[in-house]
Formats: sequence, structure tokens, C-alpha cells
Amino acid sequence: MPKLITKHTLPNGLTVLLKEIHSAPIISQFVWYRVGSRNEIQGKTGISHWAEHMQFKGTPRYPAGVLDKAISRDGSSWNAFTFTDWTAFYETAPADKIDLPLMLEADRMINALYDPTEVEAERTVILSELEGNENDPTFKLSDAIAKAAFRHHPYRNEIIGTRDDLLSLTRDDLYHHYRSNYHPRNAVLTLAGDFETERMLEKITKQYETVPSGEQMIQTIPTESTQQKEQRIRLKGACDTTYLEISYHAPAGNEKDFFTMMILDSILTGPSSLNMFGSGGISNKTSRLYRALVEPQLTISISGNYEATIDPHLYTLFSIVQPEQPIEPIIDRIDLELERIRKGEISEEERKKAIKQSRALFAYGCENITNQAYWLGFTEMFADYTWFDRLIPSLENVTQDDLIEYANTRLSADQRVVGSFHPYQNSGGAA
Amino acid sequence: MSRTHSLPCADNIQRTVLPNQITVLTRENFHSQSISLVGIIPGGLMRDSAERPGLSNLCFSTMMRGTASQTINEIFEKLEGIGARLSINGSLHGAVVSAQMLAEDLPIVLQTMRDVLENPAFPEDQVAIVKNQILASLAMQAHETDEMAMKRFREKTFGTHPYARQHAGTPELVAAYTREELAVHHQQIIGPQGMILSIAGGISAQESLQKTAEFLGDWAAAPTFKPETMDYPLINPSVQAAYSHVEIAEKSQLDLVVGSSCSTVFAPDHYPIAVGNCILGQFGMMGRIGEKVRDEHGLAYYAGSQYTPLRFGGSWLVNAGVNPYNVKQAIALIQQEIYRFATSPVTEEELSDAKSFMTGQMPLLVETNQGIASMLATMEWYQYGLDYLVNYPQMIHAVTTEQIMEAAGKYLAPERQVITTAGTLESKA
Repeated sequence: MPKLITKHTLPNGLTVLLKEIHSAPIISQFVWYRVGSRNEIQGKTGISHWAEHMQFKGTPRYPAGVLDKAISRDGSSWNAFTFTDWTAFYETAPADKIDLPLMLEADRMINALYDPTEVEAERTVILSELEGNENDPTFKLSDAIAKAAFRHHPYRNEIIGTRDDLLSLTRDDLYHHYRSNYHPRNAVLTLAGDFETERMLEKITKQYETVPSGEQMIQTIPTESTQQKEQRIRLKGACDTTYLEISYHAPAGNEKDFFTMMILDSILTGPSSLNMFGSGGISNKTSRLYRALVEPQLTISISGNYEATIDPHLYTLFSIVQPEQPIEPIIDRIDLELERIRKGEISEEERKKAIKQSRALFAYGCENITNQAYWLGFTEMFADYTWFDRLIPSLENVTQDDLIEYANTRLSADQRVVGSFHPYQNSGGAA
Repeated sequence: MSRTHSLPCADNIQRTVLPNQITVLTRENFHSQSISLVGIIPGGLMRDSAERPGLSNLCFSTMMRGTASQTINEIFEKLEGIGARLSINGSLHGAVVSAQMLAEDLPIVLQTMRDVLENPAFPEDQVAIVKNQILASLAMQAHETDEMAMKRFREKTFGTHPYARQHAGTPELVAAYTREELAVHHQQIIGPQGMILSIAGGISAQESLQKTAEFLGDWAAAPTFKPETMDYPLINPSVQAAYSHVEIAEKSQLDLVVGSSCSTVFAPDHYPIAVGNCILGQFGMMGRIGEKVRDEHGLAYYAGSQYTPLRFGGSWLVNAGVNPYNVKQAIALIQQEIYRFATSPVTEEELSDAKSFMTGQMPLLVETNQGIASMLATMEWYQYGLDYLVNYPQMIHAVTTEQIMEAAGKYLAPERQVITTAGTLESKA
């Protein structure tokens, strides 16, 4: 019987996490680099995301246009993500086709070309991606809120970067970013699926043992000063819908309060899931804010969103507002519900329900092998891999006093940014 | 560790037809603590008359919101309290029930499902809430470039066929439907006859079947029920080339569609189109289209092709999101690629790659309970047979370069290309 999870560090510093799962003839591999928009400076925003794109543009061994075909030919899926704290690449492959993903990730950790012609072609592709984001009013609203909430910390920057920075970044900037951050000491390799651990570890060692370890970057991330008072943002644009986002400063992923926030979010807006790969969800028609806002038709919808991050980020309540409905009564109603929490009006049934919902989401997430490989590395980015297995017990340990304390300290008005996006009088929508 | 991961097939799927004509398919997966369930009731959004689109969509969207014996709060307290999800949505040809739950909670979900399918009350206040949600959704769609380019494409391609309709309805119609109309409509279109129910997860086939029979076995339709006869015309195969633009203010990116209609899901050229589509705009980083439009010219973040086969005809199209200044260049490039694709055979290497990709992806599609349940329902819906996944590679490998070129020449010829765009062109391009 294999151990559930094996953690191993290669001599060059590469951290490897392996989890055997034999429910389907599939293996999923992720390579995580501890670099994202959190590590970017003004003038270079978007560089992590652009570097992620360049990793698909070839090495001497697998030139551009060869990699994607080689992977697809085997029936494998692959993609990559850039987040605030990390950049990750993954392949999910039929179990007997995993050798190619193992080879190519080791290869592009050290040998990516960053060909100047490819860099220029990708510049316009990324500008196109930015333009797609800009089509969405909520992108503009979230961006404005982040800039208000974080005066100093790089979480204020959009991961994709600003248009000006995307126009000015050079091939040398990108290559320097790559060589500084893509190396074993700054990486975590995670695999889950239908393999034998010892044999897989041998394969990994063979692929990575010659990759130089690299130097761990030491970087001082600006800390965020405590917000002193509530901030308000009001945007207008060509749309027919009003959007309301209220963002509170939130705990980092490895703080105890993070679990308290998860339970509170479940009570307020229904359970949220941190699963990235299609594992279902639960409706939220019995949550407190659904009943307070959607049932009386103040809003069309309500949801709660948060991220598990290295540094404190945001907990956001998002609503689509009923046409013609002013936002003040909505904010008042939310405040009323938060006041009830502060007064201790939380039943044991509500707390238990939140835990059962988390248990269910946990089980749904475990069905998907790609999701399991994802969790192994994702948790290492802001805590360690045991975070996932400790999740349910940690939620069970959240007490009513914790919830009251959280509402008092972290959900007060002076800790939030209230942002709204409103239509012009004449919206310009299509029939 | 046990290794019980063969594909779903006749050897491990249990298929049973209940006396009230519900076909139940079950697949055990004891690696999982949860269960996924998918139900299809024939007769979906297409059952609306041309004058009353959106009625079925509003009906399906409101059925979960209270029954003769339970309020919405009682229904969802029960479901959300156990971390389960149950929903009813409309597809073109069927009402789709979808659920996910921990394995021990199947009875609660089946019992609730029976109640909302048989006895929805359409409470006035809940109908009002759902109407507002649909109206908000329509208002948001009117500003989404991809949605509007596709909507205009359907209108131009399918003409007077019901596939061209806006199945969510118009704001005026949605606002006007009454709860009484919904109640009457429900009794006419929702019943057990012909329903498909697939269940996959950590429960024995025997127990799944026993619970299904217990909670749904004696369900009978209302006397006014009219079974779906699927009596719809085939789409008109002759499509006139056309260009149409939807102007939407203040959009940085414009969405474009180039394509046409094609044959039904049952047609002999279904597999040649599927493999051809993979080569044209799916394989690798979105096939030939992605290589030309994105990789070579850097014109789009996304560019690829889609093949959507349906019962009475389908569509085959290329779509991309581009800067408005580049729209003419992007359309010209796409048309050149389509012309090349339709007039010269794909290479043996391209054909082999696409086949390898499509057959290799199969285990990934049935990795989760949701994936298995959806696949089982689809296999039954199209009468593919329980060994569909086993036979699928054979179907794919039988496709030839000649068949692909013939299909592309037939459906993607310039004289039948519909081009639609949506975004901000005024004062730009």
C-alpha cells in the first residue's frame, strides 16, 4: 500500500509531491513557480503572465508549434495560469503518455528560447487578451477596487498588466524574469494519478537532476498599511446593468482567520470553492444575504469571493443590482446582517451546515485527478500541502466566538472599499 | 490499491426501463464518496411556439422554487443543508436535471427531484424573481460581444428554423408571462415518458436502481401531458453568404464569426466534420486557425473553430476575438485558411494527429462522476448504444482525408459563408 502523499526534495532544490490515485488511467502534472504579479514592480506589470505565454513558444528541442502538437497527439490536455503569487503549468495525460510532459517541463524550465520575433507576436496577443478583459465592466470595477484597497502592495496590480507596460516591456526584460524565477529552487513539481511513486520519482530525478538549482530571489514586498476609513468608488459605462462590489481586507491563506472567513462566507452567501477544475458547486438560496437581498428583490444575485494568498488579500461581496435600485439600501441591509453576526446571532445549525457543505465540496473536488494535482501545489504556494488535509478539521474548529470576533475586526465599514458600476443614461446596448 | 478504471461500456453500465418509461443508466464508481446524476426529459426550449419564445426557459427556471407541499426555503434548506446541488435547465431539445451529492444523500435528492418535477407551484413572488434574473441576463448579453456575434450568426444561418430563435425570449414576453401560463405549460411538457436518468458514483447499481424506482417509479404525467414527438423540420441546407454587424458601444475587443450550417448529428459526414474541425480549429493551440491568426499574426488571444451538431442540423464555424482595427485582416486570413482547408486535402500527419488526440481524450471526459453521468445520458439520448466509447476509436479512425475535404467544400464554401461581428466599429475601423 503506497503512502498517500510523498514529498521529496531533489539535490538541486526541486520540491516534488506525489499522490497515487488509481481511479482512472490518467496522470496530472503541475510545475509551480513562486512568482506572480505580487513580485512585479511598477513599469513591469504583466511580466509574469507574458513570461508564462512565452513558455509555450519553444525550446531548441521542442521548437514553437512542436510542443503543442506533441502533447495533443497523445490525447493530453495542457495549459498554464498566472496568479498573484505563482505561475503554474499543467498537463493531464493518459497514464502511459506521461513521459513527454515530464520531459517537456524539465526542458522548458531551463531551455525556453524567448525568440524576439515570437515575443513581438505575443505582445499583440496579450493586448488582445487585455482588450477582451476590458469588455467586461466588472474587470474595470475590480481593478479600481484593488487600486483603492492596496496603496502599496502589488496586489493592487492586475495580473495581465497595464497597456503601457505591455507596450514597453522588452524581450530582455522577459528573459531576465525567466532566468531569475524559473529554476528548481523556486519550483514545486506535483503529480497525481495512476502511477507507482518509486518508479515515478526515478523518472523525475532522471529528468531534473541536471537542471542547475538557481538562486532563490530575495525580494521585499511592500507591506500594506491598515486602512483607516471606508472608501467609495463609482464608475459609469456603456451597459444596462448596475454592479456592486464590496471588498473587505481579508486574512492570508495560512492564517487561522482564513478558516473563520470560509465559514462566515458560507453563512452569508453560500459556500465558495477553491477548486479550480470542474468539480461542481452548491447553490446559495438559503444564505443570509440571498434572503436579505435577492428575495426582497433588491439585487438579482449575491456571491462571496476570496483567494488563498501569501499576503492578506480581499473578501468580496458581489451583486448584480435590480434596475433602478439605489445601492445604499443594499449596503444598509448587508450592514444589518453583519451586525447580527457581531451580536452573536449565529445558530449551531448554521455552523454545522457550513461544515457539511465544505465536506461535500471537498469530496466533489477529489473526483478530479487534475484538481488533486492542483491542490498539492496550490497549497504549497501559500502554506504547505497538509493545508488541504487539515481543511475540514480546521473548519470544524471554528467557534461562534471566532465568527463574532472576525465580524467585529475584519468586516467593519472602515475595512472596506465599496465600488459600483452604473450605466450611462443611453447605454449603447444591442437589441 | 485497486485498479478498476475501464471505460463505461455494456459490461459495467446497468440499463433498466421503469414501467413509466424512465430509462435508468447506472455506473458504479467506488473510488468516489459522491454521486452525480443527469436527467433529460424530451422537449426543451424548442417546444415554444415562434410567437412565445422563452416560456419553457422561464418554466424550467422556476420549477425548483416551491411546490404544492414545500416552499423554496424548505426545498433548498434540505439540499444545501447536506451540501447537495439540484438544478433544472433547458436545452434545445430537453429539460436537463442535474444533481451532485454525497453518496448517502441520494434518497433526499431523488425525493426532492420528484416533487419539483411533478408538483411545482410557481409562486408569484418566485416567478417575479426569476423573471428579473432573466431580464438582467438578457440586458448583460446585449453588451457581450461574443454572445451577440453568435446570436446574429444563428439568425442569419438558420433563418426561419426554430434553431435561430432567442430561446430565453424577449424582455417584453418574459415580463408578460403569468404563473398560470407556466403551470399549464408545465403540465403539458413535463412527464416521465422518455425520460433518461443516469447515475454515477459511490453507490451500487442495485441500490441506485432501487432508490430510483422507489422515488420515481410511480410518477405519472398529468392528463394534459403531450409527449414530445420531435416533429421539427430539418434546417434549410441552402444558406446565402451574408455579412452582418452588431454595434455595441465602448468595447475594446470585437468578436467575429465566419461559418455556415451543416448536417445533423446522425448524418454520415458527422465524424468527418468532427475530425476535420479538430484539424481546422482545435488541435494543439486551436488548429490551423490558431496557428495562422494567433501564432503567425498575433491578431487574437483566442481563435479557433466549433462544430455543433444537433438533431435537425448543425453549425460549423470559426470564431475569434480581435481588435476592431484588425477585423478586416482577421476575416481575410480566416477565409484564406478555410479556402485552403476546403480545396486541398489535409496531410496524413494532421489526420493522424487529430485522430490520436480525439481518441486519447476519451478517458479524460469520463474521469469524474459528472463526466460519466453526462456521457451515459448522451449515449442514450442519441441511441449510440452502451458500447459507444469502445466503438468510438473505430469511427474516428475510419475518417479519410477525402471525406474531410468533401465536407469542408460542401459546408464552408465561400458562397454560403455567413460572417457576423459584434463590438465597437463606428469611428474605428
